[in-house]
This record gives sequence, C-alpha cells and structure tokens, in this order.
Amino acid sequence: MSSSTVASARLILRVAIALTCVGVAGQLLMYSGPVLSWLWMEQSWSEAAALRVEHAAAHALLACIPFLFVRKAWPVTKLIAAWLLITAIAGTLIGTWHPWLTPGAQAVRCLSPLALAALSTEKRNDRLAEWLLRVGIGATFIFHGIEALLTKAIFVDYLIAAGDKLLLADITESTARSALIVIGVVDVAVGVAILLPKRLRPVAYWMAFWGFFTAFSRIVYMGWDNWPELLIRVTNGAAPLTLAVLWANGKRDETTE
Amino acid sequence: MKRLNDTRVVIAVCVLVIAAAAIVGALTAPQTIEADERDSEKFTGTKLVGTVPAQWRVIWTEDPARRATVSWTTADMPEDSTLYFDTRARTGELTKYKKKVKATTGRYTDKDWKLHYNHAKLENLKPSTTYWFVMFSDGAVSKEYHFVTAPDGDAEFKLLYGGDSRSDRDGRQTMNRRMSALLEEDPEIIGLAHGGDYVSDGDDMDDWVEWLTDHELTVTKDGRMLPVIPARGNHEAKGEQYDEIFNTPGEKGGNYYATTIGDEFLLVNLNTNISHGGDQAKFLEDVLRNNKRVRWQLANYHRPAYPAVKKPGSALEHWVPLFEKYDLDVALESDGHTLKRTCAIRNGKPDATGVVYIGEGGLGVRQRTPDDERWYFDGGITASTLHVQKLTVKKDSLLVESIAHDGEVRDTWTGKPRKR
Repeated sequence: MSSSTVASARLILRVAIALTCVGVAGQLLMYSGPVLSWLWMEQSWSEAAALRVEHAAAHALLACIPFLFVRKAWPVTKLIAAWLLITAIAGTLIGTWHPWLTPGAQAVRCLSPLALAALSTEKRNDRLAEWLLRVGIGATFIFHGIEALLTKAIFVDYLIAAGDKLLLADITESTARSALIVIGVVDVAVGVAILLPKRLRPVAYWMAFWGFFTAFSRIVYMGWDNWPELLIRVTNGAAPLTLAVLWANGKRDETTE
Repeated sequence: MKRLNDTRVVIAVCVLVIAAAAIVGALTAPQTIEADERDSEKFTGTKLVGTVPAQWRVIWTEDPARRATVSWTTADMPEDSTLYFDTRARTGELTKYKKKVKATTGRYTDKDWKLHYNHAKLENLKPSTTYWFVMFSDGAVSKEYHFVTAPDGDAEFKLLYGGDSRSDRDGRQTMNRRMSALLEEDPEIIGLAHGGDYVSDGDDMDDWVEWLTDHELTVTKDGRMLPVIPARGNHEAKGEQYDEIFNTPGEKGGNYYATTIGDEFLLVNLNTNISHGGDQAKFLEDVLRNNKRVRWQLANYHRPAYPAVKKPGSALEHWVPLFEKYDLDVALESDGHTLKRTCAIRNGKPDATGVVYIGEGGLGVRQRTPDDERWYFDGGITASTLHVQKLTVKKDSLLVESIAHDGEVRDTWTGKPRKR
C-alpha cells in the first residue's frame, strides 16, 4: 500500500480513537462504567477504590490522546485497547441481557487501536492492520446483528424515536421489530462479507455509513447530553472507512500479491 | 542509534504523562460516603422439606381491593394445594374456614433446584377486610396468617415503596425487619410496591430462594403479611422465575399494569427491560388519559429518568413527556442504590408544576455515593443509606417519607392535589 494511503488510514484511525477516548473518559467521569460496577458489586471493593480506578483510567485515556498523533508513541494504543477490552469483559460479567454478546459487539473499538499500532511501528505491518480491522468490524456487525435479531429493546426504541424525530412518522413496536429483523440479517451478512478474502469496497462503504449512522442514533435518541455514547462508537464507522481507504489504492497491490 | 534514543525518549515521556494523569485522576476522584453500620442477625426461614408451605407472599396487581394471589413454595410437587381462608381468625382449623381455593402448581425453572410454586388466586374479596388463611399442601399446613385488602372509594391509606434488594443479604434482612416493624406500628400500611432488582441474577434460583426466604421477615409477629405490588428490574432480565414467583403480573412478556387503590389512587407499574416507546408507552398514555380525574397518580419502574448516579434511562425519552402531559404526581424509581428526591421537573427544568422523582433503591443492596451536583437535586435530597419510602395518601395531601434502616426519617415531601 502506498505511504499516502496508509497515512490517510492512520489519520482516520487516530481521530476516531481519540474521540473514543474522549467518549469513554466522559462516560467514566460523568456516570461511571462497568468496571466500577464489577469491582464494587461483584468483587466487594470499596466504592472509593473502584471509583479511583475508573477516574485514573479516564485521565490516562485523555492523556493518551496527544500521543496518538506521535507515531513513535504507538505503544499507547495498546494501553487504550487494554482498557477497552477490560471494559468489554466487565460489561459481560455484570450484564443481564445476553452478556456474551458484549465483547463481540465492542470488538472494533478494542481492535482499532491495535490496527493503528500495526500501521505505526517501524516495521509497518499493513496486512496485520487490515485483518485486525476486518475481524473487529466483522465481529461488531455480526454481534449487533444478532442483538437486532433478538430484538433488543433499546434498538426498538431507537427506531421508534428515529421515526418520530427524523421522519415525523409514528412507527409502531411491531413495525420496529420487523425492521430490526431486516437490519439484523443485513448486519450479519455484511459482517460475514467483510471477513471474506476478497476485498469488497462497497461493503466497507456501507458499513462505514451504517456505523456512523447508528452511532449518531444515540444523539437522535437522547439528545446531545448523550455525546459519550456517540463518541464511544465512532470506530464503528471509522474502522470500515479506514478499510475502504486502504483498499482504494490497495486494489493494485492485491492484484500483484 | 539516535532514532532508537528518540523512540525511548518519546515512550518515557508518554509513560510519565499518562502515569501522572492516572494518579491525578485517582486522587481527584469524588469523595464517597462510608456505608452505614447496622446490626444484623442471621435468618434461615422456613425449611423447604416435602410439601411444607414456605416462602409465602401475597401478590397484588390491578385491583387489590377485590383480588389477591397468595403464593408459597414447596420442595416437592403437591397433588393437592389449597388455600383455606375466611374473614375471621380460625386458628388454623381447616374445617372452620368458610372458603377455600385450589392453588395452581408448577416447578420453578431451574436446572439444579427442584422447587415448586403454589399460587392461590383470590377473587371477589371485600375491600378493607382482613382475610385469615392457611396454606395446605398434601396434608402439610402452615400456621395462620392474614392480610388486609386495599380500601375502596375515596379512602386514606399508607403504602410502602422500595427497590433493589438484590445483593446485600444482611441489608435485605435488616430492611425486611424494618418494614415488618413499620407495619406493626402503623396498621394503616397496606402493602409494598417493589421497584425491581429483587435478586442479582433473575435466572438463578439460588438467589430467589434467598430472597423468598428473607421475605418471610416482612411478616409481623401476629402473622400479618405485607402484599407486594411487583415491577421487573434489569437483574430479573427476562427470566421465567419472576413470573413464576409473582404469578405473572401484567401480561407475560410485558409485565406492565396499572394498580388502582380506591377511587383516587393510581399506580402505573412499568417494565424498563422492554421497549419503552412502543406498546408500553401507548398503554401508559391510555391509562393516564382514562384516569385524568383520579386525584393521585404515580408510576413505579426500575431504571430512572432522573438518576442520582448513572446515566438517564429510556424513561426520560418516552415516559417523562407523558408524565408531564398528564401531570403525574410522583415517579418512583430504583436502580441507583442510593436515596434521592428530585425537585419538581417539567421540560427538563425545575418547575413547581412538574413531576417529582423519588426512590433509587435501598431494600438490601450496597449503597452508592450519589452525585448531588446534578441540577435536579437543587431543591431535592440525596443520601447513601438503605431505605424504604412510606406514602401516606390522604384526601388533601400525599406525604412521602424516606425511612432509613434504623427507622430515622431522612426526608419528607408533601404533594397537594393537582387540578387536572
């Protein structure tokens, strides 16, 4: 892949991961997160100690942001990925609605920093970065698709609210449930398609659009006060966009591989 | 070599800055409140042996003046489970009870536990009447208990409200004893509206067995039971056990319903585990529209619209506009593991004509430190203590007292009838 293509891909990922860090830190500082709940409720830590862990993580994530834009500081991406993974695991451990879906649904936000690391080290590994993104995006879409097929309650409400606010239409619960089945099937299908050896750029573009759109649905739903939820999900759209950018010039490389 | 050194410098700076930030974050984390100390004595409840009735409870749903379900658990599946009841005490002599009703029975959903539910549905009861009863399962008979049906007409009464009894067993037993003591000293209390999260894992019968056992502590020394008006919490998730324990309040899969006590009190019990904006919002609007003339209107649900700790739930998007449109008096909320009362809120701002949000769950769960900086606590209160709310419903006022585990009244709020 050409250096300019990789530079563009890195920039998209850097901005997306920086926004994710802001979103996660905002959530931790404003409301607390699943790690606190797990440490405090399940592990019997004191509330003060659990709160210190989350506030330390929030400040550390914010401190990581400038280093994301320094190529030689690529190890910070692993720190970010580690915290996001811990959060996903804690979410699974305290979750009550099909908690096993949580790590898969959050895979792209955990793997995007590692993909950025692969594109930033001295010995750049474009192929590893591409597959980290593919696996992350594929898992996130497949697991969100399964949640849609199981008609997750909040997804039903997103559709009802989107119909009300964007389309000025009264969407009934049964219509929203039917729409979720279609959305779920499409999500699973594109999630599988992105994992195929063939590079399908239109699929990546669709996933980028849908990833950004569904992230933004958090704002449509509860207003701008819900901004951490939007930022946390920016990689859902940014990661497939990065793939599409990598593949724009990579098509020639693919034919020569 | 220079490049290597550059990289090391960058990483060293990086580590220093991030570590410093983490330390600052840890040191500047908000102060927390130490949990209250309390005395507790262990309680093991009635043993689950054969068909001996244990884990008894009275369940109210739509019409507690005329209908109730008396439920109990047996270890073995009884062939004949019957509730004998009367409006006079009969000291447990079965032949003296004027009425009896067969209980429906079945096995609780669980791989390990082999326990059975028994539900006796009582209908056509008389309002404000004491019903004495014994539970009979294949020859095993409970001692005599009683409960009082809800009043009819424009009545004055008292009702307890609380939620989150899921993970601090000592705390739960303490609060159950507190509720029993409140019932002893104030017989005008008729029942308990529960805001959900009875247990940590609603699919795990281990947790339910403990909750049901501890629930026996709510019974007074003279055998009066405290009927429960249940709402589903997130920890009950979609588990079958909730329906098996509370005899499916509302419709299966929905579990939302409206409780009417007398002519002038409405409690809409909602389910925050399912879609808020679909059929449930329509139900809520229909109920509020059809009961415009009812003097006191309250809602009971788990995940808060105006939380003291966490982020707002979907109730804020779908239900709060309806609460404000139809001038709900009080929304009873749980989930946050803290004590709270907001100011009156309308259109996302303090407004004396708005809705007051009370609760957040303190029936037996470790209490969190509330975020009292949130704007809606200016004119409200927060605290970190196990608690139960006592609602005193009168013709000219609605008094809500928040009572801590030690009996101390930590907050009072009084509402006046609205012009709707």
